[in-house]
Amino acid sequence: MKSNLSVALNLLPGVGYLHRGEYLRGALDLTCFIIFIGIGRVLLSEGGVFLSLFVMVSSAYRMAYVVHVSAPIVQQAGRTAGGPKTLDPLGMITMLKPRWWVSVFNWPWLYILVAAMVVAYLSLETELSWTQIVMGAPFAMGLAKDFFSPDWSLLPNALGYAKQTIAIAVLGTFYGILIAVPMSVFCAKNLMSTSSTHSVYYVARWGMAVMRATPTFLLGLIFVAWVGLGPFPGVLAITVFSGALMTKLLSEAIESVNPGPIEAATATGANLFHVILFSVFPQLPTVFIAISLYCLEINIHSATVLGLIGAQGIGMPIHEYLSSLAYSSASVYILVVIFITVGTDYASGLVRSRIK
Amino acid sequence: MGDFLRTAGLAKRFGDAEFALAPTDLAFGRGQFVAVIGPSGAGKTTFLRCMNRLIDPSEGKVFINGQNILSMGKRELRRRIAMVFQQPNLVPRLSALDNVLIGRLGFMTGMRTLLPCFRREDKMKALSALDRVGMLEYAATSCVSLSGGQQQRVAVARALAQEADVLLADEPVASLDPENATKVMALLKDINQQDGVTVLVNLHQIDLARQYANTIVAFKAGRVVYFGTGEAFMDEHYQKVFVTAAS
Repeated sequence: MKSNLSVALNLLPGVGYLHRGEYLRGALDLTCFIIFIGIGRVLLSEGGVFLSLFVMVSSAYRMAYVVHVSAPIVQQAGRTAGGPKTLDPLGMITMLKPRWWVSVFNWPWLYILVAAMVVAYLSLETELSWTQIVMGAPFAMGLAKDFFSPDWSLLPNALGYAKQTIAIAVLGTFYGILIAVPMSVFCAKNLMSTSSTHSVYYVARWGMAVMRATPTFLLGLIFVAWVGLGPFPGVLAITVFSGALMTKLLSEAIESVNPGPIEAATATGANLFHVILFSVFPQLPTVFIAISLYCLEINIHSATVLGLIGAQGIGMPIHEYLSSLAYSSASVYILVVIFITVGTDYASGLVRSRIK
Repeated sequence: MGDFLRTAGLAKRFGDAEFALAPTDLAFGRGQFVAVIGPSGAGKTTFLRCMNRLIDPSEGKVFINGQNILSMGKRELRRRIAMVFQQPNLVPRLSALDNVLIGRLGFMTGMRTLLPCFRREDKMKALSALDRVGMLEYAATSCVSLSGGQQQRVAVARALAQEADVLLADEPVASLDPENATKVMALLKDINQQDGVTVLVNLHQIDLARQYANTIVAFKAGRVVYFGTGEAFMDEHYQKVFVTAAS
């Protein structure tokens, strides 16, 4: 009776450590065990407690099994086996009659359940509903039918708007480059290494991080309030966002240039400005072109979305047609957007592969 | 030996570690060809880099023509001291001429700092430096397409374009084949003899040091263990520098 109880107690995580006098680790394990059961209770009510218990115990078994398997090998090597010297139920089962399901106990149940719990929690948070996917299908089919019969008479109109969107993106990218080229120097650690320039580096880095973290959408709203409706606030929003993004990419490129030529130029008595102009920038043209094209791709995408908040471009008519349920009209515009996006992707990919 | 270039207790330690360069008192005359030898990690590079303050010395002073370099502006100092590195350290996409022109950057003053375009005079100097190292025909060639030896010669031309009083060379031939090594060493010797430039070369090939240098400084574990003429450097000194204390 007493030995049975001790076997059961040994199944609790952390008890093995307590036996060996490692009280801190044992207490830690037990605390984690209790917290784990608590999480199970909160997320999945009573069933969760049993599930948690099962997981923990099977995990403990897993460790015991490893000890059991390794013990004879360790002993053979003339060393004493680690772990609690108690009966190992799983080990006994395995020894007596190996069964396929025994291995199921050895799965990493702890990790599986943690992952399952996270997914369950996220599904609750996002109101995931598989039934809705099936039930809503007919409505989606109706919408898709409208989409696949586009009203081609609107095409010239759509192309006009598309031209505006591209203009917003290109101009925004251009001004973004004008911001990014000087700013990237201040954000490059290898150029801002002296004590006097170090603070400049941190201020610039921090400023760029804030600008990059601000969604283009919010920037658009701010600039619409600032300079009024029209494509111009879109240009400004894209300038700020892509300027910050390019600063990050370009400064990382600067940080990875070959330091030799920088040192050589410094040793001739050149000042920092000259070093940058003659030793850093000449190492970067291909990277610079690649970064600019990549940003242009993103900006064409952003310029479309910015239309929704009044920055014109092709996003605006799409928003209007969609809200008035004129799907067959909207579809022409959306197809033009898809065409432009895919086209720029392809074109810039082609250019980037050429300049390598 | 003269004291055109003199160090007084020059020392460097990185952090709280032992001296990478123990306090050193040396003096070199104008127009000497000095070979600085010693095993890896002996403090040769630290010694050389303290001269043009690519590394700031922790203690001591360096005098160039009686002037303390620590009280000079870094720009003024580096204009007078040219440097060649182990790697050519050329900007790959620029032409050989543009790379040599980098040697003239230290002379840009005033408004030219903001609008960096080189004067005709600078370009002529750069071209004649290229001619001197035998690379004039490659002036317009991008440096990526030059061989290692050619690149190092362009690097020497870059140092030459500075028209400096002192030329520091940090293992300039360590990554070259023997033939190119000889070419580069001959160039340094030529600059030393024709222009009267004081040359300090870090080397680990003892035969090259004996062949070209008239003064040898040997470092071991941050300390000077030999300072004298090239002829007087004997096998016993060699043993002292390169063979460990076990013998």
